[in-house]
Parts: sequence; C-alpha cells; structure tokens
Amino acid sequence: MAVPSTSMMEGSAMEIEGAQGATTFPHGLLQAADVETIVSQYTGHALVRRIVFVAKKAAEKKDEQLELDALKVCFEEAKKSENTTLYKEATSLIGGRLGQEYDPDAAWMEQVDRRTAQKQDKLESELNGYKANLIKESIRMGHTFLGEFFYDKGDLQSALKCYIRTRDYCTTSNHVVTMCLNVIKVSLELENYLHVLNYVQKGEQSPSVAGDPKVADKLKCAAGLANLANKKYKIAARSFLQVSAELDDNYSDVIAPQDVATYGAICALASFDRSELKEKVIDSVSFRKLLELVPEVREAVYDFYASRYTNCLKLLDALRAYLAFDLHLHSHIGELCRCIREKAIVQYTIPFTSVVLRNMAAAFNTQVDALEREIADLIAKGHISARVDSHNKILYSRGTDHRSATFAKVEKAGRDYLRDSENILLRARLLEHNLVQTPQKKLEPMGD
Amino acid sequence: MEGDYGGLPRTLAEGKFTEAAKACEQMELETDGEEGCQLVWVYTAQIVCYLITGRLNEARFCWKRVPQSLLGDTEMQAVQKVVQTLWEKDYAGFHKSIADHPWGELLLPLMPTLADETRSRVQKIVSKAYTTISVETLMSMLAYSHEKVLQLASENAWELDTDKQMIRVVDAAASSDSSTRRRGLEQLFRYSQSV
Amino acid sequence: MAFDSPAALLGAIREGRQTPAQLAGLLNTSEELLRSIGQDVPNILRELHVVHHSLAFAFLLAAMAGNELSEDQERFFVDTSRAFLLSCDASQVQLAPEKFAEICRKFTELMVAKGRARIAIAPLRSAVQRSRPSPNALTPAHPLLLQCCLLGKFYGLAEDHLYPQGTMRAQFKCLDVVDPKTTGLVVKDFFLYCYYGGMTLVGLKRYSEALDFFLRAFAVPATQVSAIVVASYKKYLLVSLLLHGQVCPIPEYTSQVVQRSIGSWCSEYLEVAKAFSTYEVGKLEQALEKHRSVLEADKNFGFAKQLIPSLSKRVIQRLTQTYLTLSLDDLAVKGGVGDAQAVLLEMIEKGEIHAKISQKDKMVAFPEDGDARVRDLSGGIDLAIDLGAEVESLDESLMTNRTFLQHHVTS
Repeated sequence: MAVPSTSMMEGSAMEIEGAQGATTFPHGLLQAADVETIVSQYTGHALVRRIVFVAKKAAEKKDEQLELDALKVCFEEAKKSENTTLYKEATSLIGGRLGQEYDPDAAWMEQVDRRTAQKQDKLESELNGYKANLIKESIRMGHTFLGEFFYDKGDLQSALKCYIRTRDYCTTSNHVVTMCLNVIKVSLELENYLHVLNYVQKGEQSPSVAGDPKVADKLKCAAGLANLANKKYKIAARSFLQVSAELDDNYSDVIAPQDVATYGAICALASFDRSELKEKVIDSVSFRKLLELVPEVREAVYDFYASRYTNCLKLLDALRAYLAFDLHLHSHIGELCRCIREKAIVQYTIPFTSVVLRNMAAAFNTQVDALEREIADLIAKGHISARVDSHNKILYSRGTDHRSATFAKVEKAGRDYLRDSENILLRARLLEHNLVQTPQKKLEPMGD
Repeated sequence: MEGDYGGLPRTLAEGKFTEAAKACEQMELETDGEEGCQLVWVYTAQIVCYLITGRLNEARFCWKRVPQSLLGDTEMQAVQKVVQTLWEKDYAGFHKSIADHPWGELLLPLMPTLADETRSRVQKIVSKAYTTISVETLMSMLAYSHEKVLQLASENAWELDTDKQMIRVVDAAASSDSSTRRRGLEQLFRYSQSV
Repeated sequence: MAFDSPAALLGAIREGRQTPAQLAGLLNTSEELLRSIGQDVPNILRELHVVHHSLAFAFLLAAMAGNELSEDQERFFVDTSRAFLLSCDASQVQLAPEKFAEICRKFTELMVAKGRARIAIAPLRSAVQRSRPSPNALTPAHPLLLQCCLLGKFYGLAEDHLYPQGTMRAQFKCLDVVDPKTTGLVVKDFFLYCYYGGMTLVGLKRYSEALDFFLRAFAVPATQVSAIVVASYKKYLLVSLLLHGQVCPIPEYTSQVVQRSIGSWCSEYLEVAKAFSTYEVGKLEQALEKHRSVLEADKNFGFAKQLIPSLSKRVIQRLTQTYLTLSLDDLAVKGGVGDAQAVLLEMIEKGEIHAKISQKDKMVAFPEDGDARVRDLSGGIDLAIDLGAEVESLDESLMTNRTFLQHHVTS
C-alpha cells in the first residue's frame, strides 16, 4: 500500500527501479515493518515496545494484517512474562478480532496477579530483613531484585525508585555500573532522557568501565538514544559511532546493532561536515562492519560522500516508509531527511563557480522554480555563498572575494570610532563643567 | 515690478535662489500677528526657490506654514500641485502642471529654470538606475518629444535598440577606475599598520 | 555694597560711572532689592535705554521674569523683552548670562503659550548671536530658538543653528560646551539642544545626523534617568530602525543608571523593534496598532508608521544578498510591493540600493560595487587618527584638573 509522504524527491513518482548496481535489500524495501525481523532482533522490553508501536502505527495506516500480526506477538509476550498490564492492553487492542484464543482470560489474570502480589510481599519482607541486619550487600541485592520485579511487571516508576536506592549500598565500581545500567534502561523507557545522560556520565566515570567494552557499548548506545530523542543529532551520531562492531545482541532488550548503524549513519549524514563524515564513518573500520548489517543505509552514505546525490536521496526516500515504523526514529526522520537534502544541495554547489539550475533540478528531481526557492532560502541562511541570476536561472558562486563587505565593515568601524571619540570628549567636557543630571532636578514634562 | 516684491526679482534674476528664499523667510519672521505673512508671493517664490535647488523637504515645510487665508489663491494652488507631483515622483505630471498654469510675472521667469533643473536631476537618476529603458518612459519622465529623447540619447552615447523602442543607458559616473582602486588599497594598508 | 533703594539703583545706572563689570557686581549683590521692586520695573525701565543700559535691563527683566505676572505685566514683559533681545549690547549682556537666560526662557514660555512661536524666532535668533561668548558656543537661547523654529515649521532655519560654523565642518561635532559661567547653560539646556536638534534633522530626513544628536543625550553624565533621556531614547530607537534596520546598542560610556533602566521606560517601543526584526511587515503592522495609543501620546505614531514602507525596502535590500538578477514580477511578490519599479527607483535615487533596471528584459540586476567605498574611506580614517590623539591629550589634562578630580574620582 503506497504511503503518501513528503517525498525527498519532489515531483517524482516513487519508482524504485533498483538504481544501477543496487543489491536486493534484506527488507525487500518494505513499505512497512516486518514482525519477524523485530522478533529476531529484540528481546524483553525493547521487543514489546517496538511491537506495540508497530501495531498502533499499522492501525493508523489501516494495515490490519500487520497490526494483528504484531498484536499476536504482543499477546504472547505478555503471557510469557506474566505482565498483566500488558496483557490487558494487548487484548483490548485486539478487540476480539483474532478469535477466542486471544480474548482476555480473567481467571488467568487473577491468578497471575495473586502470584505477583505474593512475590512482592516476599521480596519486600526479605529486604526489610536485610535492612534490619544492616548488611550492605544484601540490602543492595534486595533493592535490585525488587527493582527487577517491578520492571518485569511493567511498573517502571517503582522499578526506578528501587534501582536508585541501591546507590547508597554500592561498594565496588561494578556495583555502580550495574546500578547505572539499570537506571538507564528504565529511564529510557520512561523517556526521561536527562536521567539517562546523567547516569551514562556516572557510568563512564567508573574505572571498571574502561576494561569492559560491553558496558562501554551499552552506555554509548544509551547516550545516542537520549541525544537522538533530544534532537541533538550530531552528538547522537558521535555516540552511536563509538559503539563497537561486537555489540551483537548484548543489548537486545534496548537496541539492536542494526539500529546503531542506521541511527548513527543518518544522524551523521544530517549533521557532520565532509571531513567528520570521512573520519568517523567512511574510514571507521568498526562502524563499517555495523553498516554491513544495513546495506541500503550504507549505500546511501557512500553515495552521499561520492556526490551521487540523486541516488542517495532516492534511497533515503525509499527507506522513509520503513523507518516510519521505527520506535525511536519515526519522529525525527522528516527533519533528518530535510537536513540531508539541504546538505546535498549545498555540497553540490561547492565545486562550481556557476551552476545551471536546470541541470541541478534534474539531479535533485525537482522543478527549477522550486529549486530556486530552496537555494534562495539556503543563501539567506548563509549556508551557500552564492547568488541567483534569476533571469537566466544560473547560480553564481560568490568566491572568496569579500572586498565590499570588508570595506563596509571598516568604514562603519571608522565612523563609529570617530563618533564615539567625539562623544567621550563631550562627556568629559560636561563633567568638567559639572553639567550633570542629578536627582534634584524634577522630571520635567516635555514641551513639543 | 521691483517695488511690489522688494529686491526679490533682481535676486532671482541673478540666479541667487538660496538668498531669495532666505529673504522670503525673513519676511515671514518679521510679520507680526498670529496669522503670519499675508503675501502670497512670500511663500510661492520661496517654495519655487527650494524646488530649483532640490530642497524638497524645505519646500514642503514652507507649504505647511502657508496661512489658511491664502490657500485659496490660484497661484498658491498651482505651486502646491507642483510640489505634490515632485513628492510623488510623478514627473510627467510635474511638467504638465508647470506648463498648464498661467504664472504671474514674478514666478513666470523661474519656470524654465525649474523645469531644466528637475530634468537634469531625473536624467541623473535614469543613468544611475537603468540599463535599458523604453523611449516612451523617457519621454514621460522628461516631458520630451520623441525627437528630443533621441537627441538626448545620441548626446550621451546611449545606444538605441534595433526596433527603436529601447535605449541602452550608460552611466558615466560609475565607470571603475582601476588606479583609484589600487591607491585605495595602498591607503588601507597604511592605516591597518597604524591601528 | 548693594543698592538700598530703587532710586539709588536708577540713579547709579543713569550716572553710568561704573564700568559694566562693576555694575554687574553691584547688581549681583542686590538680589533682594531687585526681587522686591516687582511692580516698579516697568517704570524704571522706561527711564533707561535698552542698548546703553542693556545690563540693567537684563537684571530688571530677569527679576520680573521670576515673579507671577498679571496680563498687563505679561504684555509689557513680552514687548520689552522682544525689543531687548533684538537690540541689546552684546558685551553687557555677556556679563550676566544667567539673567539673560532667565529672560529668554520666560519670553519663550509666554510666546509659545500664546501660540506666537513664529514671532519669537527673530528675537531668539538675535539672542543667540548676542549672548554667545564665542561664535560656536552653545547657549541657553539655542534650544529655545530650536523649539520655536520647530513649532513654526522653520526647519531650515533651525538647522542653521545646530552645527559650528566654518567651511570644514568636522564630522560628529556639535556646538561647543564652554564654561557655563559664561553662558548660563544648565544640563537641561544641553538635553533639549540634542533633542530638538534630532527632531529638526528628522524633519529634514537627515536620519544619520538625527541619530547622532539623540545619541548625544546618552553622553550626558547622569545619576538619575530623566524624562528627556527617555524621550530621546524612544526617538533614537525609531530612527535607528528606520536607518539601520536594527536598534544600535547604547554606547558604553553612558551612565550606568541610564543603561540599566532605560528599557523599563519604553517597553512598547522595544516590542515594536522586536516585531521589526522579524522582517515580516504584517507583524510590524500589528505591533504598531497594539501600541498606537502610547505612540500617539508620545507624538511618535506618525513617524513610526514610516517604518512600514521602510521594512518593505529592507526586505527588498536583503534580496540583493541572494539574487544577482530578479524579474520585476518576482521582486514585487517577494518584496510585497505593488509597483516594484517605482519603489526601486526611489531606493536607487536615495542610494539605498545598488540596482539596475532593464525595462527590455523586465528585470533588475544587483551588481557588486566595491570601488565607491574606497573613495569614501580615506577622509574618515584620517580624521579618526587625528581625533584619537585629541582624546588622549584631553585625558591627560583632565587628570591634572583638580576640580574634576575632586568631583569625579572616588577614592
């Protein structure tokens, strides 16, 4: 089902004729998400969150098949993890469309809740016991278990409180790291990104992290996600690009390596200048490995760097439909693609002293008038140093000769200096003659 | 005529327009009574002098000082129209308003000067502002006939288009002088050393 | 050794045995007597000659000015002062500058109140010429003259009295502030000179000079914000927007109390400036309507309205940064103007834009223009280098001036 979206390629039909040399993409350039892929890449809460998001998005786009596929998985996960809140949500979203098997089972829910309540009581009383005995390590573990319990149940606020409480009972740096990772995981889900960044920083300061690349990776991923959510695309890119190629499924309950590659690459394309792009993306051996997991993103990056803008933009446009279903990226992809298009336009013009707009419009698959408007906007913002010969539809570079601007500045500086010097002299003279405005003078009414 | 207008006609004939305007101004100041000077020519001559010397703002202010009682005078109204056309940059209207009115003996000899001065000012603007301009536009801006426009063009070495409708204007003042540029840059270098 | 009776006063004056300076001394010490004379001043003055006894006239008229006057007395005062200002002996009145100033002020006040400002112009002009101790000195009569010129719409005449005379008018110089003991100048006079000066130049559409005049108000040392500084700032803000498209910051040498609190006195104007900075004519129009009553009360609304076409022009000016050529139709659309050619013509004439219109191609071109600037730079920079030296030398002399140090250098 075609998805009408603001295409990066204005005015063109979404003809994906595998651009020359393009390989078949693992996702088959889907217009939507693929439930099986999600199941294979994620576990735990990441799986659940993503699948729920896909279900809701599918409902929006009236793709019932996808929606129900996703909800099935959601239902099964809820049953497995004995998370009755999630169970309730899943069954209500299904709304009876999948037959009796997927209808809410009140008896089962009651059973689970009772068991859960018992478990909670047990954990809490154990914790109290530890507190009475004042054994730090036990208290720490007690809080941690309780935290995990709440996390599994889906009560994130309580989980967070428990994890944070372990802080006073950490005695080794490893304890600290554990606490940080727990807090980070919950905060990410709560979308409290300030917390995430604080605890990433705390974690990174811990000495044990240096020797443990897995932990370092996790912290970088978390930082990346937080910055992405905060729209700090450049910092997000830098974080993601520091994740090693060995991430695999070490963090599968938060993020998959394919995400790191995708988010990192797209944010980098949108925010890095050419030299940083080369240094941190193109030339990075470890990131290259990650990029191999998402070949179409990789191709877009190399196309951009090689100035094959037409192709790059086509690819990214094609990916948009798919990325609209991505939990973390969907709200940013529009802005990111806009930035990338702008950068492409700017970089296109750099090597030339003059550009015939007709040719450039063809390359960017748009009309000359529309392109002229885009370029005028970029010039006004100072991203392009050139001027438009609107009559002949040519763009002329301004070159490095900024003589008149310099003259104007010098002229103004000289004038201001002259005027200020005169006024300072005047002020001195007024002071000398004691012509000062003092409070004794009333505020006189003005006679115009 | 001399007696009616003080020494003004002589001053005007000598082309001392600023002096004449000041004399009229003085007459305004010396008039006692709240209503202001009641002599029409004190204002009309003053205004025309300001217009000849290109001081449109002061012409406007003089106009604003004209007493209520004199506003109905026909010559006053004619002068007002002239000021307004210049203010609105309606050059065709300007020349028309000068030509149409039967001016009195004091102002009549000034009109050709006013027309000429205004024309030369407009011509400067045209050569500064246009690369090509239609013959028709020039005719209306300068109130020249077709032949006079062509004559003006050839005097200034302005090319005429093949279809004889467009003129390619050349701005003499703006031709760049490379030696000036070099000198200027040398001076700038000296200054940068002293700062 | 004061006079003890009006008769003694009259007698001494008519005898004319003292030098003007001695007479001045005597009169200065006879304050009480002068104040008490009141009703008799007309009688005494009738016995004296306005030119020969200018000094006495000065003291006596000043004494009259300080009192409450009946209608008859006002008429006498106005008529006598007028004749006095038109013909007094300069050397004598310069011995009593403060008294002379009092007369000018009262005279102006009465004339303006009666709507006869125009008639006060010639006498005040004469007052300026006769009372100034040097040709370019600023006197209390100057702002009064400017005020009457503005009221009477004699802008050209006002402009004649703004700047020092001389063929080489140095940039940014205004009239000299000399020892106030020789002119009777008070700080309010200086403020008004700057304010009326600015208004005169605004009327003559010489906005850059107007801005300089309003700016001088900020050079006045102050320990308190005065109404006139606020009024000056408001005008400064509007003219700044018109001329530069932005509000240039108040200079650093402005007194702290003014710098810190001036904004709170003109928040409406700051909002207008903010609306202007969006470069959207619609927003500017809204802001002006919103604050119309305040602007009207300050008598600034008419001028503020000029900001609207000014902003349109700036929008067009900005286009020269982006375009080398543009069709006249596109220009009209982007600049939000009806007749693009007419607006361009006006801007070109005033030097506000560098553009060339091609009627044939129905477009406008915006060429670069580096050379013109080089020609203009030299004079200015030479002046600046000279002035810098003057500032340094003045600094030294002030540092050794005991009075200055006593007043202004806190330990």
